Order: sequence, then structure tokens, then C-alpha cells
Amino acid sequence: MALTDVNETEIGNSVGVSYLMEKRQLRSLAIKTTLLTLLTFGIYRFWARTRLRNYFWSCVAPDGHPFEYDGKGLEKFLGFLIAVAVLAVYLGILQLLLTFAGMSLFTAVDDTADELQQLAVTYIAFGALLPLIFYAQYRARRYKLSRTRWRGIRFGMDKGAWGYALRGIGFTIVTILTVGILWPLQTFRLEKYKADRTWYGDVKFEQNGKWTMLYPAMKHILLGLLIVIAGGVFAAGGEWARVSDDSFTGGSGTGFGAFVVFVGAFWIYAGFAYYRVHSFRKLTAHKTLGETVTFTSMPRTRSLIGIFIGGGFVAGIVAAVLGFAIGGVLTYLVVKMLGIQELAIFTSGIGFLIYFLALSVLSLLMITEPMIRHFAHNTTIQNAAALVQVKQRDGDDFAEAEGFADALDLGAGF
Amino acid sequence: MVETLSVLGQFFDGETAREHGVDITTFKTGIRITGDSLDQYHEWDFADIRALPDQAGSRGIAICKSGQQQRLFADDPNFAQMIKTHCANLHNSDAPRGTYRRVAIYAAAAISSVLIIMFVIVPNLANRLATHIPVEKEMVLGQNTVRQIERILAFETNPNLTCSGADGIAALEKMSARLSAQFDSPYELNVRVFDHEMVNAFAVPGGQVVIFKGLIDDADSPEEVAGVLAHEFGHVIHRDPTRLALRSAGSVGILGMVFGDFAGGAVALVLAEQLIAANYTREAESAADDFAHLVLADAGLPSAPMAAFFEKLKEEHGDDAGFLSHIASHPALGDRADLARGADTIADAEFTPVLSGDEWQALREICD
Repeated sequence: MALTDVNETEIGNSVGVSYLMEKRQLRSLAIKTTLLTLLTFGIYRFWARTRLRNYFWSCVAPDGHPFEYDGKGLEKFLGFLIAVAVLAVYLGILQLLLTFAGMSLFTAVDDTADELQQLAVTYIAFGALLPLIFYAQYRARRYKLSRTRWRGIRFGMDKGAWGYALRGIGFTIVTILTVGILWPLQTFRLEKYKADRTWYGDVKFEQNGKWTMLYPAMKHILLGLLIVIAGGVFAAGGEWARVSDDSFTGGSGTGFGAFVVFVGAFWIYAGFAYYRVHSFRKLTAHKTLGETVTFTSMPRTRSLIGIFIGGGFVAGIVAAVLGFAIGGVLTYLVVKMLGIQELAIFTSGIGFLIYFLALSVLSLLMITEPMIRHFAHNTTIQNAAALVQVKQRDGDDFAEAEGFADALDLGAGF
Repeated sequence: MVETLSVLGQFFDGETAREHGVDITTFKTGIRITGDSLDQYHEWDFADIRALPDQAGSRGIAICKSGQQQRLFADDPNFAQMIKTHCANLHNSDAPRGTYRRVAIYAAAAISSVLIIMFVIVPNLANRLATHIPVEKEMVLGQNTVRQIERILAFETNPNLTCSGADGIAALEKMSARLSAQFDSPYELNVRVFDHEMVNAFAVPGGQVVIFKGLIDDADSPEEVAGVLAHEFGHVIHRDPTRLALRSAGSVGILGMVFGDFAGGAVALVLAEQLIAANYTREAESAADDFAHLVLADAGLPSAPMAAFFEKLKEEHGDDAGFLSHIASHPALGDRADLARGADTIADAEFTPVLSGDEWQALREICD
């Protein structure tokens, strides 16, 4: 269904996204769910993830109306069980056959070749999993959308996970064969495949634009590459000067070149983040909902890298210090004061659990939350008033929920 | 009906995305929702009202009627408080009937799938496939594996674990030759000693056998070491290490999935760990024991010292000494000692010792 413009005055009206997070609420929820996850040896993680999504979804309120997540922990747990039952067969036999192939086909005679061979087996294993990974990603996205509501109306996604897996593999091969030159084509076409099957109620999303529009987003990867090449030339020049002079004093060129290569490598790394952020901007700007509603999302690469590195750094250090301090003190008390050597393994285990607990809670508070906030603050919706005409869609029951994504550890979300 | 409290709210009817501004009034057993844009008013009993779980914001409340699409948002702390006190089922999850049964069935299916694949299909497949690996590949693989294990263990002590005392090596070769003359091996057998205090010995694919220094220290006579070596040769001849490597590879893939990945590198570590701990099946251990008894008898050596060694382990570590060594694992040590003693063909008769006194001394000092 195409939405018609509601009335003249509201056309082109832009609304923002409110953000309703309260630190105290999130902190207690994060601690509670992580503790329960630890105490139940990981079983609670399905419910923990559900509750955290409940919270984060309701934090984000386009035009002041919060999203609602109505997925259930139980369906995730059951979905995981289904996925395990299926994947156990596939993975068990796959690993075994690969090892057998590794043993009987290419057995290397020295360490380097041996490592190369193990690497090859790992890549083949990964390749065999690739279709499943794409499949799982699509299913997980469909699950999440079908469990998301806004103003009481469901989102949804058409079936098409195998088609996505097929295209995913095809475009991955194309990208690899063209050494990344056609990466924007992959990004665009896969996003279009997903977006064009996404619905809000009875209204469809559409991805417009052309794949070539993503090329500018690659500029920092290219720049990084040029810096690496320049550094390589410098280093080679320095080496050559040293060798031809016979003076052994040309080392400065080599050192400087190596430094430039290092800078270039970091630049490429940041360039990948820049590509992800700016291709997201471009793709979002060219999405429509019901032909009239459009979106603007302008996240900043610098802020997101800052959150990721800064937040990760602080969370990692605080968690390590906490875990080490508590584990260490406990171990000291038990071993030195009470003289029970055997308990040392338990006390250091407690230290590790505290490290894990602190790390999960802190990364939620210092990475996930700021990132969601950053996206919320930098997104607007144009002509949202037209959405009042959207009608409800049917529920989308599917048994395995996001079980495959979870079993394959694709980071099925917080 | 006594109507109290009237607050403003936002109502979504679950049919369109249109926002309805509504008045909420409270009566004795529930709330009534009225609005100019609504076709009809809605009445929700307190007993049917459910809160949307874990919502952000601490002022208001977001509620729905159990199982219905409609949503009501009210940004009024007093109203929120009223709802919380009156609605007894506010946080019910409304799981459908038969949920427990469904969970039980699914869990049983998943667990049995994992168990069947890990303990039936993978081991069987491993057994079949193990015999199809070319011997020369197995030997190269074995050499690589020993090197890897040496590297992993070396973190604890020194980088080069293999002991190189020339006289000791000669003694070890003499012992190995006397035993291996009794059977045909597709592999070139290669025995070495690791300078490590663990009381253990293990075989890797392709005829590589490693004895730990701790085991030699623990033995009172060279015949005890010979018994262990014959047992390891049994594993080699039966290709047990190759089966184990294949089997673990399959199991590690599954376990990694169930418990979440512990980073890819862990797989190699677990494999090495498995080979050292050598969790062979009970049948494989018994078969290796039987093999050892026969070889010892054919070589004119007693198997009573092997029994004595098992008993010593039992005394030191209990009946299923578990992680210390697979020598000490299934089947129960006491039974194995009895079987070894029963298989002894020498008893009190004379026999040519496997090593002379000097050679035994050299073996004990192989790592010095």
C-alpha cells in the first residue's frame, strides 16, 4: 500500500527520535540479567536478551512513541534447542569430514606448512558455514522485526532466507574476486534484498538509489591503502639507499617507512568503520516507507569509534581490576591465611566470574547504550504523519526464532 | 459504579497506527477508556491488565489487555501506582497451556540429537574413516602433533621437552625393539621421553609414543615401563589415536556451538589435551591391555610388574585417578591389575630382564 499525504501542512514535516533511557533502570536490569545468566550456567541468556531488548526498544521513541519488543525468552530457548538439534548433525559430521580430509589429503612436513594447512581447513569450514550464516542472519532479522511494534502495529519481513543466503554467497565471491572493488555492490544489493521485504504493518519499505552511490564511503579505505603503499615505497627506498651506499646509515628511511605503513594500516581499519557508517547514511537516506515517508540518519564515525574504543577500554580495565582484585584477595585469604591450597582454583574462578559479570554489564552501559543513543539522537523521520493510515499485519510465528543465529554465535544482539 | 480518577492517555487500537487521545476513568473492577476518535469505549478488568515488561521511563506506565493488540500509555505517576496496586496479574507472562510439555519435548530432542551424534554417529564414522587414512600421512601428522603438544606443555617448563641422554635413548630403543619384534606394525615406531613430572604416557597417530619422565620416576623396574609401553603400542596398532583425533574434532565442533565459541584457537588446544588425557573407550583400553599381555608374553617378559604398577597408581591416586593419566583411567585399575597378573606367563621363573641395571639407570637419567 502506498501512503497518501495526509494534508498540505504536514507534508515534509520532520520528527526526531526521543530517547527515554534512565541509567539507574538500565544498570539494575543489566546486573540482574547478567547475574541470573551466570547462576543458570547460561540458560537464562535467552530471557536476559529478551528483557534487555524490551528495555532498549522502549528507550527509542520516534515521534515520542516508543518501540515495543514483544519477543519471548521461551521462544528463543526453544528456537535454540531446535537449532542445536539440527546443527549438531551438520557441524559434527562437517568437522569430522574436514579433519579426515585434512589428515588424508594434505599433510605438511614442517611447522609453517602445517599452520597454513590448518588455516586452510579453518577457511573451508567457514566456507561450509557461510550459507548457514547468511540464512541465520536473515531469519534473526525477520524474527526481531516480527517482534517489534510501534504505535501498536507490527513490523514484519517476508520469507526469503535461502534466497538471501544464495545472494550472500554469490556477492561475497564477487567481492573477493574483484579484491573488494565491487564491495559496494554487495552491500547495496544485500541491503536492498532485506529492505524491500521489510514491512511496517501493511506498508512496505523500499531501498532506492544505486549501488555506485556507496563508492564515496570507501574513500578512507583507499586513502589508507595509498598511505601503506607510500610507506612501503619509503621503506624500500631507505633499504635500497642503505644497500647501494654500503654506508649502513640509511636506516631512517626504513624506520619512517615502517611508521607510515603502520599509520596506513590504522587508517584502513578506521576506513572500514567509516564505510559502514557512511554507507548506512546513504542507504538510509534512500529508503522510503509507503513511498512518502523518508528517513535521515547521520551517525558520526568519529563518535562511534570513540564510544567503541573508549568504552571498551574503560570497561575492560575496570572489569579486569575488579576481577583481579576480588579474585586475588579471596585467593590470598584462602591460601595464605587458611592454608587451603585446593580452594585456589575456586577463588580464582570467582575472580574470573566477577570479571565476566563486570565486563558484560559495563559493555552494555558503556558501548551498547551510547551507540543506541547516538543513533537515536541523529535520526529523523520525514512525513511521519502519513503513518496514521497504516493497518495491522498478521503475526509471524516461526518455531526456531533466532535459534540458528544464536547457535552459530552470530552475536544475535545484546 | 463509582468512578474515580480521570487521566489522559494515548491509546492505540492495534488495527491502525493512529494515535487516539483518550480519557481513562477507573471504576471498581477495572478501567474505562473513552475518546472522541474511538468508535466505542473499552473496558479492561484489572485482572486482565498486563504491563509491557521492562519499559524505559519511571513516571508512567504502558499496559495492554491480556492477549490483545491494543496498547495504552499513560504518563501519570498516580495512575501508574494505582494500576500496580490493583492489577494482581500485571506481570503474568500468559504462557499458553502445555508450555512445560513443549519445553520438555524440545529439550529432549535437542539433547538426544547431540548425544546421538557425539556418542554414536561421530565415533562410528571416526572408526570407519580412521582406517582410510594413508599410513604415511598418519606418520607425518603424528610428528606434527607431537611437536604441537611439546609446544603447549613447554609453557610450564622449558621449550625443549624431549630428553636426549644418549645412553637413555639407547636403553629405550632396546626396550622398544624387544617389544616391537613381537608384532607387525604398519608404522615406524618412535618412542621418546618428555621431561615432565606428570605420571603419564600417550600415543599419537602414526606410531609416535611419548612417555613422561614422571612415569619412569614412579616405576620400580624397567618391566613396569615395558608394560606401559606395550600398552601404548596396542593403541598404536589399533589406530586408537587417529580415531580419537577424528572423534574429538567432531565433538569439539558441537560443544563449541552449545556453550558458545571459546575462540577458534581453543579447538587445537582441546584436541591436544584430548590426546594427552587420551579418553579412549573402555573397550579400546581393554584391547590395548590384552595386546600388551600378549606382547609381553611373546617377548618372554612378565606382566606382573604391569599389575604392580597399576596397583601403585591405585594406591597413590585412587581407583579412577582421572586426570592424572589415561594409564589410570577406565577400566578400574584394580581389575586391570588382576587381569595383568592373570596373564603373566613367567611367574617366579627366570627371565632375561628387559634392561640391565646400567641401562635402567641410564633410562632414569635420560633427561639429565
